[in-house]
Amino acid sequence: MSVAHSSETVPAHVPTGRVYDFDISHDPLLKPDLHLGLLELRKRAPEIFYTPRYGGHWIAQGHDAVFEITHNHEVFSSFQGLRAMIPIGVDPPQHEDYRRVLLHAFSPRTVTAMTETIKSLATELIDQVAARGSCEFVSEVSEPLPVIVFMKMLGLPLEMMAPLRKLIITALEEGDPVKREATFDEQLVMLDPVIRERMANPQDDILSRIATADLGGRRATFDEMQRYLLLLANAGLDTVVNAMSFATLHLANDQDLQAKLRADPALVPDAIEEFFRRYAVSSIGRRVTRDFEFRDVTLKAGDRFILLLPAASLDENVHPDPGAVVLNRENPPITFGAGVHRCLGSHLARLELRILMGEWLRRIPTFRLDPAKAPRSHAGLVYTVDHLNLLWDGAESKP
Amino acid sequence: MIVKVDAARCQGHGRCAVEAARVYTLDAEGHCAVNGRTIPPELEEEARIGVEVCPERAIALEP
Repeated sequence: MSVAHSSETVPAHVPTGRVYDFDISHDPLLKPDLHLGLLELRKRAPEIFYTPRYGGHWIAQGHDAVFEITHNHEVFSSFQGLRAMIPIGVDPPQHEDYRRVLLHAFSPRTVTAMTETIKSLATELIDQVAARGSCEFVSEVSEPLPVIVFMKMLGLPLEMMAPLRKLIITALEEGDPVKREATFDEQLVMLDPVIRERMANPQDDILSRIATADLGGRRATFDEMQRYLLLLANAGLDTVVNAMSFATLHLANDQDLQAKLRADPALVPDAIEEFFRRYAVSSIGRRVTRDFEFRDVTLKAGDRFILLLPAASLDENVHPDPGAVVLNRENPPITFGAGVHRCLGSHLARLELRILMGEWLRRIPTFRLDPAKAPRSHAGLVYTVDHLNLLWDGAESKP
Repeated sequence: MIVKVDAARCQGHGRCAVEAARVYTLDAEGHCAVNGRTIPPELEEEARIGVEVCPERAIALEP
């Protein structure tokens, strides 16, 4: 597999023992099961390794390495050298002003107040498929629920849902940062008019809140509004969809756990926590600011890193028997990252998954995969379930 | 039992206050605001939950 890649994409400071050819978006190891592929990757490659793909970059797949990197922004900058999304692509101290603007909207208190709204949308979506005895879970449940909730929070018109989702999925599958950047420009063609409108006529939504926020004595510029919205859209309109889909895919295959959660719904929050760990979906990037010795690895200024959070959350040193789904594990998962950039939306994600899973199990009888239509998923910066066809008791597979 | 919060580590994720609300409260910025607080015996178990869920390992309990 490494034949196609000449040595020029492996710089001189990277020893052979640290090179492992891995394509974050299309590696054969990740087929057919992304997370089982990662468990295999953990056996084959060291906690920090270098892949010649996409111009060459490091990958950190060990929990402790990722934890340290996310806590050392002086060496591991979040600024990737391209358009810096706000706040994820900005380093401290500037990061703090930018992030503060969003804290209220994603705080546990604000999010908890949305419980009934989320529950009523969840039950509406589930009721639409319940009598049918089958569904394509992604397009009918796990996509509309968090995407509608979040588009309303942001202040984006719901008509944008389908075309925007398509562009976001394309962006997050792309392993090449420069090509990915081009897909963001396409998104902005759609988003720019909304930004202009909210800057002119602020409403009661997150976009307006950003437009009217105090950024150290001034307002956000149009460019900053774009960088905020790109982050919110790409982080918020995709990750929860996939977290829900992977959790439900697991339950379709794990009848014992499904029965256990039906018998005792109070276990659902613990199960969600474990699904977050076992099926983490997002990876993030860093860039090395100066020559640095890190955990026995020589790094050079300008080196790029991908922090493979879905692999780090399967680190057997922190989570014994990492492939098993075990409720109430000792250590918290690194699924949402760590440090100043840790996922702002984790409270919302958690609430949405708990509500959906609770209502789904209450309203849908024992379900399983449709044997005629195998689920499909793909890798990238966000691990994505494309299709998840489910059947429940009494139903037959329909062509 | 006394709660020790490492202010340099706490990033304001708020997990402690959500999962163990009777022990942990947050300041206006969302950071854990109970450094040095004495925990009565009946809340010690809840205090431990806060330690376990903190993604930053910022909370410790001292006798």
